[in-house]
Amino acid sequence: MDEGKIKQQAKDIIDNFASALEKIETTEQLVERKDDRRMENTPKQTDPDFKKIMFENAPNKKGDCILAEKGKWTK
Amino acid sequence: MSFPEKVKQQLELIKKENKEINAVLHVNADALKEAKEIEKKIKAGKAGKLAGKTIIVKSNINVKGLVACCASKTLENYTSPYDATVISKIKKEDGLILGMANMDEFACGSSGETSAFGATRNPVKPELIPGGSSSGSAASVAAGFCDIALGSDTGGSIRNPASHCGVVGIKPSYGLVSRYGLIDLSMSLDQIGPIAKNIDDSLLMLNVIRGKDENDPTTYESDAIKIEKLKKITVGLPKIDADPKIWTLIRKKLQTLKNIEIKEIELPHVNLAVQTYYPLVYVEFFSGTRKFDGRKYGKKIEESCGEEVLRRILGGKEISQAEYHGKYYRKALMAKQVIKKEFEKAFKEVDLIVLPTVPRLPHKIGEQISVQEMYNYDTTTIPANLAEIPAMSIPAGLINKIPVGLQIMAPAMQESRMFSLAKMLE
Repeated sequence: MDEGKIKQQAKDIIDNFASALEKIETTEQLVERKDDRRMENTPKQTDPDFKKIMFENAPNKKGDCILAEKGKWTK
Repeated sequence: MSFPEKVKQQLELIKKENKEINAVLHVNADALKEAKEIEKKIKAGKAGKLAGKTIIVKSNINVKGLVACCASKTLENYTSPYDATVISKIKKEDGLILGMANMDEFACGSSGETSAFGATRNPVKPELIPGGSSSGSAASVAAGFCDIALGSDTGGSIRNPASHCGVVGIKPSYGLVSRYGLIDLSMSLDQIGPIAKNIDDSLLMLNVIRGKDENDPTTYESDAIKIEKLKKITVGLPKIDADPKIWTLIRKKLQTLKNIEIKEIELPHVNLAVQTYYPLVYVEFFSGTRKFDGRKYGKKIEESCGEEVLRRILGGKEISQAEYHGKYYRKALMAKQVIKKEFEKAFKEVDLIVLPTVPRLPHKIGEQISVQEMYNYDTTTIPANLAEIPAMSIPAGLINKIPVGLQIMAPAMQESRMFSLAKMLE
């Protein structure tokens, strides 16, 4: 895969789409939903299997921690 | 036939035919054991609404203990540590999860070809694509591997493969079904929905999985969806580009009904649906995939994904960096509102809208088509996602022995009306 080529292709696609949308006349609308908020004061019992399976999924771990060397993943 | 016997038969069918169809990625090793437990409940008269039904789940929905790999090398070895809300509801009603379905990688595709584990074939015509991205879900139902499948629909990913495979596929209203536990493609557009051989099974499943969920604040309380007798209805046909042969088939199918009035309607900006949709998907997908950094789930996504996934990530990154101009994402959000309002206006004139599910017939597996051509597969399905309304695909007939879907769209949260017309047409 040529990452540079794909990046350029993606850029061309979004530029092309953005120019098509320019002709739509719009005004921004904000909607604030004040209901349906979750109450955080009633914590649920955690499934004991959750942590076990999560740790099995992680490639690097030590004791009770999933290892993530700072900055390594950005390279 | 007892339920365990049925499950055994379906597992044998998967074993025999999945090598060619490639619709199923993982089978639930405990399926037979679970079937025996459900059978006991059936005999005791204490079974739930889904008892006796087998279900295959798209591989981007968490099912505890099964692999939800999104058909990607990135999550190849990811075992779900919990059940998505829809799965908890299915299990509560004694539905049996038979396995996990193949799909376009991270739901990025409309053909079923971008899976890292090989393309899914169309059970009706194996040389053709089954459609996507819920390719394995629709193909599993069409092949008889299960009774019902779950898919996810962001721009047509349930309806498109349902159309190509000749089955029923439902995209619920945004907020009807919880997305908790769905590995998202685009959080403001995704919905989980059923795929089944018939309308009754898809309705049964939708009634089980719908409802408010405190883990997904976009969900609403909703009433049970029912099929009603429609005395007289007005159906709108929008002016939208599609293969004339497909339009002819749709019109013929509608003409089989006596109590409907057909109106041609205008949706002026619907032809910009694709251009509105992709900037939203690129950005939200880029954002959603930042968690796949190789720490908790095995591999960093950019180093392990396929071309279409990478295109969307790089495109989303590009938009995010340039967004201070508000040129892409913000503009697309505003265009989405315009399209949504056009639908609201249209539904003041008509009760339902009918159009082709997919504007063209499916291509052959491996045939080279451009990115734009691939995106255009969804021109007739994306509008419902942008408008947040329900839509479904039902079989309309065959063209050159290839299944073609008829799509019904309804106003938001009016699933009952949509199902009622579908039932009349079935």
